[in-house]
Amino acid sequence: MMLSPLSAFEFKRKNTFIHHLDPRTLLYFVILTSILILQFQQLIPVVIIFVAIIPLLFVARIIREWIVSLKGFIFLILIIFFINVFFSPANNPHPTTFALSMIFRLLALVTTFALFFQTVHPDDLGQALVKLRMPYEFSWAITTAYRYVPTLAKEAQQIIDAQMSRGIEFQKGNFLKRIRNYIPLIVPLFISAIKRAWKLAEAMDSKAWGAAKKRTFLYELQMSPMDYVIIIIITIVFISVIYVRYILGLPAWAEWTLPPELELKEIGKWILGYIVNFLQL
Amino acid sequence: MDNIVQIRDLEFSYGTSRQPAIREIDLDIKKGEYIVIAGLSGCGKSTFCRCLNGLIPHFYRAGVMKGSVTVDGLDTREHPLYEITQKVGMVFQDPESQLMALTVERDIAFGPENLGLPREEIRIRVEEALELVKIAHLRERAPHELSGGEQQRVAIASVLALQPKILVLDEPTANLDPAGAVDVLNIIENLQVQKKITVIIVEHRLELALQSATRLLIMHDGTLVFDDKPERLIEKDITPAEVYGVQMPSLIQLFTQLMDEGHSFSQIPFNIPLAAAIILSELGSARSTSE
Amino acid sequence: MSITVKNLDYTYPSGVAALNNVSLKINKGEHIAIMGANGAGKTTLIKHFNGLLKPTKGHVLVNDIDTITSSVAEMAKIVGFVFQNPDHQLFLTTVEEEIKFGPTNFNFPEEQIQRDMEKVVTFLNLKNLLKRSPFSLSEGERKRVALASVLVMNPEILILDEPTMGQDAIQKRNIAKMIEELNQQGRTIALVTHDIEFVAEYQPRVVAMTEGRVIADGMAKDVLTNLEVLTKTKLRPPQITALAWEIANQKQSFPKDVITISEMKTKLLALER
Repeated sequence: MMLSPLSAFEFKRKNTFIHHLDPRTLLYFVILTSILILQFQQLIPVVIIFVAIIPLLFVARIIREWIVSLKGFIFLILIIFFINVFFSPANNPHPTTFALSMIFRLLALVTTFALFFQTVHPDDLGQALVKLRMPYEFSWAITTAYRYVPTLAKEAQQIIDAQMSRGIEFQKGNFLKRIRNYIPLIVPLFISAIKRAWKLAEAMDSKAWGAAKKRTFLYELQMSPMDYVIIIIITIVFISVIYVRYILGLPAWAEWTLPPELELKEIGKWILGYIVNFLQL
Repeated sequence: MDNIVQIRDLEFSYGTSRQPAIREIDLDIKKGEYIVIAGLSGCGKSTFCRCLNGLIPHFYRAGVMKGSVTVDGLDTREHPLYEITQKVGMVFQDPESQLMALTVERDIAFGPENLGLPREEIRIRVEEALELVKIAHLRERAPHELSGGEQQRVAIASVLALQPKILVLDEPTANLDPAGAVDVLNIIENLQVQKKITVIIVEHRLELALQSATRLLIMHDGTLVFDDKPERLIEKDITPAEVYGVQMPSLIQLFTQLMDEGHSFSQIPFNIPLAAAIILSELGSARSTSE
Repeated sequence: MSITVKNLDYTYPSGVAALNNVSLKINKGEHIAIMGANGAGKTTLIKHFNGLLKPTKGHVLVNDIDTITSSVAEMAKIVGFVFQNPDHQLFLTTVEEEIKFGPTNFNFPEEQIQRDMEKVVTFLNLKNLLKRSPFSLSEGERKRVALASVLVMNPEILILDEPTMGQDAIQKRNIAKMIEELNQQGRTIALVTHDIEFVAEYQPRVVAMTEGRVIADGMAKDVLTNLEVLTKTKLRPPQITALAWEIANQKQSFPKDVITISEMKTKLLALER
């Protein structure tokens, strides 16, 4: 059994235009884009937003990482699709269209966040949060959590190896049994995390933690003229889209739905019934 | 006057146990010494280290400390921890738990940042520390991308950035492979020789550590049972180190056995070239005089 | 019980090739030490001995069972694996539960579990600790509990990862004594270690690895005194060997393949005459 790290949101050092932007600019981008995405339930506008984000992945040269990480979301996508198609309220005449737009919504959100986390160094993020008046202790906690993800992943793998070697089978049994199976992983992991936290606190205190009222930083974030240009562009786009959505109203083509014969609800119900029978749930 | 550490009648017990972890410790340490501490696990070495940099009493507040520890003129009970840590740098056993930033450079900057130093000063200190432990090429790397030996060098550098006069290391090579251990011990020796930093190190690998040691302390059951030059270890009037669980380097064991058989040597060597020279020049003649 | 490794390749899912055409036979009752620098593939290799990793190419046979066809749990009855850090496997509230966990999980008969437990508890001197919580014990004691929880399943092959790392002299001596006794009981022992002085003293068969390949396999006396092998594996020679080399530098006749203190003494005394 192997644990694979969640690579979609892992920072990779690269030398691109986007990587050089101030984290605050990118944070602004993530927040406004997410708000925009959540304004739409119609398929066409969501797809347009999604497609508009893709070129940024090319600029940041993370398209390959993104495609690889999308594989990790296939299961989630299938679940969203099935739930929305088969359990949508009876008054929704276009469940498949709705399901598709929910999927593109998810993809657009994931892509936006992936763009952020892959291009912003976690230390810079912490720094940005301090600049945005968050207390240093909080931003420190966030970067430290991030710092210890690989360490904990490695440790979890070592515990899994040790326990499997004693004959523990994590994947065996029904659902409840499987949850119980994980106790031999979770207890040692938890205890070791507590021990590590203690050691970390000792090390921090040994490096003058809390000495000065006002802490200084080796790197100070600095907004460049380019950051301001980007922020203005993001703002204009955001206001325009909101204006179209709520004041002008969406044009008819934006409300396009799949033709009724492509709606999967009836076929799907039959498939689902078959699966349920098969599994004897 | 040139005692940089003065310890008087030190005793400490953790809150969880009434039995003191260390007791009856009186000790003076001169500037520039290289002190190796040995002893069984659980003999109080780690506790002793924590008394030197002020973690005891400031971090372990539940415990009871008696006696006094003075480092570079500061009584550790009367000064806050962050003041003491600028005199005494502490490196721990587990490298993963003492590196908290996401790059080497920022990890080294952590201490000076806490002090609120101006950015130019932080930069100077970071560069200096990177140079001292020879890791400038690693500055952009994340801690989990480094080998154990490299991680431990980063830990040393991040402590040096506070510009301490004393460096305390609690089993810094216990988790390392031999190549990593040699690297780390070489760096430490360099700091003592070139920067005149006083070194106090807990180390099991005596065959490596004793080569540079000016003084050896052996602890047992919370007390100091040996405090002298390493050479005196094998003299007849001293309880053998093995009694206290200290493993003699095989080189020393060899010399001890030869002496048991009636040979005598002008000095006890802790490094190989010297040992070879002594054997070649003295072994034959020693026998001929004894016969 | 023997282990046969045939043309083993292993590549991690991340793409790192860790083992490259490794072939090796460990016979029943042998005691072998696998040595090499970090990243040489030692740990990857021993994880194949109980099927934690399955070969990318080639085969690993444990007593004629191909590990590909067998689960790690099944292998656990034959191959005991003791990891470096005991904290990675202790999770129960008493030492007794911890030791009984493995055999109970396998539904071994109750009398047998009780009997085997008493045996390992006596062997490892854990009798007084049975009712204690593993977390209240010292590091050395926890290591013994972890070992007991593996030995109680009566594995015929025992794999140890860095058993002496971070241990003091007395703990090391105890570990060596235990290994020797287990070996004398007929168990096959394979351990991974960096501790060259330890290996020089107890002299198992030594397998040296570099970059995923076996570069030397033979008696400790031959492998540990081979400068080329030591350089490639980033190991330092045992102190005694280093001394022999230094002397041989000046006195050509002096033998270079000395690793133990007693041997050195004999050679030195011969030198005088």
